[in-house]
Amino acid sequence: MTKADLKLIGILIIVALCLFGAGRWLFSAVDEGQKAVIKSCGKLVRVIDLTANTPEQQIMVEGRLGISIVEIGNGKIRMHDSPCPDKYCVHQGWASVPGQAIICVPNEVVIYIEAEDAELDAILR
Amino acid sequence: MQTINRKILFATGCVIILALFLGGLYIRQPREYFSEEFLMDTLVSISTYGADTDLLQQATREAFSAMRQIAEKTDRYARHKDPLHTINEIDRINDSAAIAPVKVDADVFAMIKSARDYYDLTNGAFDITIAPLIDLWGFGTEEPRLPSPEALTKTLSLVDASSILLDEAEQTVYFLKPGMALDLGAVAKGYAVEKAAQILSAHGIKKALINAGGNIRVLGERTANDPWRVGIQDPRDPSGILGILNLNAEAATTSGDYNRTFSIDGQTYHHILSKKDGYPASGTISVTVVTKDAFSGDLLSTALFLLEPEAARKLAESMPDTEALIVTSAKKILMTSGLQQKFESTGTEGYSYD
Repeated sequence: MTKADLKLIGILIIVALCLFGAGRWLFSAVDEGQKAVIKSCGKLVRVIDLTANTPEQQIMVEGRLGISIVEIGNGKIRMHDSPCPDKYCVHQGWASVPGQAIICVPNEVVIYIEAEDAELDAILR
Repeated sequence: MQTINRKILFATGCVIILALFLGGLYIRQPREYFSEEFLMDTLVSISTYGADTDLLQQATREAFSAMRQIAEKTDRYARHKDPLHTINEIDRINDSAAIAPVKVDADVFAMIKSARDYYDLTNGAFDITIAPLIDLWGFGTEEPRLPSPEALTKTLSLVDASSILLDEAEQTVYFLKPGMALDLGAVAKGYAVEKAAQILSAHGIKKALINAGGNIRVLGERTANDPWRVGIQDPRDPSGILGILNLNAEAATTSGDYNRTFSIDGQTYHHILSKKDGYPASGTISVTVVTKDAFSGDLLSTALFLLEPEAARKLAESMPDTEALIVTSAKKILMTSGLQQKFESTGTEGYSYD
């Protein structure tokens, strides 16, 4: 094997690694920071960035019983109103820590806080 | 010229093969299979990890199916919610165990038997014959209400787990007092979660996380030599945490006074009732236990909640493979001696460590 051959092999490996890296980068969703994932009746409804810059807004989510109103502001999220009888989800207040969840069992609406580099796997409620 | 072309062709071929090879290695890496379902008044999620996705899916389905069965057998409210509901195990016991012994299935018998053990361990503070008291308050209905002192006294005489007769050989349950009734609310979720964990394990799954809100069970480690990290919610700030538990193949369970509450005249009441006075237990606002299995964790977290904080710590300390973190109503945190190795405090303001 000559020096040139070794050089070629080295270049080949580097190019292959780059291709592999580029593939992973291209095909994985680019997400940084934390997000709120809203689901209704087991189906994904919305994924929203949860940063201080996220504009204040209310989102209507159609659940099993009716419409839940989700509110976002200051990098936090909460259930503003819900058609469920007990309103545990509304009383829970704001959520912003990755791993946290607001769960409305009767209306089957769920809000998760997720982060790419989450420090926690789950939170005991 | 031809040799250069060949070289380029060869090089391109090599690059593609190498990239495909690396990509293949990546795909073969363990993957997560995630599934969730509304069960037992909460959202239960299972995350399993492995290279064989079909196996993960099959095991997860079986685990959910087993949990669903436990939920159906133990739900006292099912028949109120659905008039077409067929009578389940708990209904059969509560309807007729005061008339004659009722034969029950192995799961329900195991739950009642363990609950009786915790009745003894806590000198009667933990009592699954609490159902008449829960119903008096109207928990689980649309209109909870404050009971009158007379009604409380009358109902409390029915809360007495020492009046349950269990026949191990016949698998029967018999009540010595008419009007007694069982509530498996503090028992069934942990039992179901542990059963799910055993099913996943029997399928050869080495790494999994089952999250049922206040009941979390992990299999294996998160990554090699790295534990799972589970936060404990601040009982007075739902968006904060008190600290982080590092878990390895074990269960963590929390009972808190902030879940399932209702208000009457500005006063908040929670669902863990004490048979001392018939009111929601006070003195403790949150108990977290770390145990080998989710079933004993569920029993113990409620049992400790019903004891005085110091007595609760002593009891947990005396049990093998058991750690506990107790938050008193004065926001003092008591821990068992072995918990320090598993717990990282976040130094949340307002709490002091004892």
